[in-house]
Amino acid sequence: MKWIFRSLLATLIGMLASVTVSANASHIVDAQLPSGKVASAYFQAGKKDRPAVLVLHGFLQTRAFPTVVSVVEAVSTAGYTSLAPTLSLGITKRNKSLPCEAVHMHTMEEDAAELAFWVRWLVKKGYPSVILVGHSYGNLQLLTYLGRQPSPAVKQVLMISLTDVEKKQNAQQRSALAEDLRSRIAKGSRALVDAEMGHCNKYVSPPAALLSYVSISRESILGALAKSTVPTEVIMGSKDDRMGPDWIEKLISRGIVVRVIPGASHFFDNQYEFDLQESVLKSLQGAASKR
Amino acid sequence: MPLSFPRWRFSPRPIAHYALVLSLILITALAWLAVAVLYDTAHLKEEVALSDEKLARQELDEAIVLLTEHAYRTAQAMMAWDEARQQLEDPIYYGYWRHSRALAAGVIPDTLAAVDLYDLNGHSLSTVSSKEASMPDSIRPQNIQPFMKREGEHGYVYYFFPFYRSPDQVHLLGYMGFKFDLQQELHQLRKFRYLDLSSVDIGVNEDRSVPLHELVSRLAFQTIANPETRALEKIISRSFYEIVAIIVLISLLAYLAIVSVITKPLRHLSSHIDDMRRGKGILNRPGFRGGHLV
Repeated sequence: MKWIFRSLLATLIGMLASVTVSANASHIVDAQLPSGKVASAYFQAGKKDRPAVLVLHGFLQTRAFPTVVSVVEAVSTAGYTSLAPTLSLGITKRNKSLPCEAVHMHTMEEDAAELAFWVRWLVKKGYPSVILVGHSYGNLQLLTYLGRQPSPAVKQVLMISLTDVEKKQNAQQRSALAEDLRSRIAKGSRALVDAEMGHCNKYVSPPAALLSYVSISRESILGALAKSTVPTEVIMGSKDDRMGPDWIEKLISRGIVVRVIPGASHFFDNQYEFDLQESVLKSLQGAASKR
Repeated sequence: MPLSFPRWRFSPRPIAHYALVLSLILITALAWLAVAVLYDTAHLKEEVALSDEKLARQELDEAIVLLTEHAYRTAQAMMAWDEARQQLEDPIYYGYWRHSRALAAGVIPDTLAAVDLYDLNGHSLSTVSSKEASMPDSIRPQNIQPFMKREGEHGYVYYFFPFYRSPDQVHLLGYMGFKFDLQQELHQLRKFRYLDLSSVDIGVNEDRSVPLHELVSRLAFQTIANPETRALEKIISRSFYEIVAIIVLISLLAYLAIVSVITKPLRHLSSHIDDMRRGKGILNRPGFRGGHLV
């Protein structure tokens, strides 16, 4: 009888302990950025012998975006430590996607600096190896970061649905817009500009901030990918309507490893969610075996 | 000495007079009854009117509570809104946000007449004051009680709330102010059973403000006519007139009956007795040949 009571008590204590551990293992982290703004991230600790995976959301989105959540779930379940920050975009504790018509004062450089902050945060936390995973426009922020002396802890980059910036506006249109913005900046104008940018038909931003995004072109993306010292892999959906028909070929022609999931869209929704998870895990395991 | 009372001797009156007096007494009694009923009806009507007014005021009180709850929910939505927080942290493009985003983004109700954000000292973030949506240029953070102000034909209710960075309400970023069109909000917030909303008179001088807790007592209004009470009043009035008509008819019939059944035969009998006194033949009168007197 005593023995049964003790085992029941032990089971209960064990259950309570496991709840506490799991509650500690995953939580929302708030951190003050060098700019003074407070940014937050979802953090889930995994096995210590595995690299930490930082998953970055797309343009104006948050870590709650379904594609990001799906990838974070997959890597966490596989035992990787995961960190999914929400870029502040100049707003303390931003927790919702930012509409195109809102005032966008953030710049690409600030986004990259925030990314660098979270990589440092992971390293300080005791993760010597970090893998960066981006979705859509978030990949351009990863590329910008990689172009500015990335931390040696970054061992691999995985880009999901790498954005083709010239899908909606061609190189000439973007170049003309960039020229107009430079001219406004030269005149000292800080008046808001309302322009077509990314998926937005009306993106409202001061000239300098807008220019930091508009100055990115297909060529600059391909050039940055080619120059990157960190091994990079791209995962694309064959039915992604946010890229030009030759975008995948262009990437492959520059020697970039591209995995194409047949039938998947830009967001890898429906049944393609599992194909994406499988593909991401394969890439992570491949990187681990190379190391 | 024995007491002697004066003896009133009335000369005999025609029986028609007695019948008339009787009828008058009856009519007077019934008229008195009718007046009493009328008085009670008027009293009841007055009581119902008072009760309706009380209920209408109660409705108005409840509507103001609803409006306050609505303002509080709007404040919560505002605090959770990233863009509003951005303006308090960096108000450089506040003018654009206030005119193009604040009421158009769908986060706070677009039925609001105006919205404004204030810094920690209570100064509006607007660099230029806007005439079209006149919000106060500054507020006193230590006294941000809601109030109502009359502007033109409309009454506007102003609410101010502290704006915190997060729901834990630790880090104060500034203040927010909302302006509601009183009549429009009352119309949207609830249905009124007793209060005639179109009759609400603000009753406050132009540009004078009234603390919200005094508002209901300052408003003048009319109540909506209660259809059941109106129907009851109609029934009582109709019944009253019907009773009067019946009394008049009954009195008339009674008078005719007395005249034809009592007065006339008695007058014949009296004439016959007079004839007998004068020595005239008893059976000469045709009315008595058959032997019936009455």
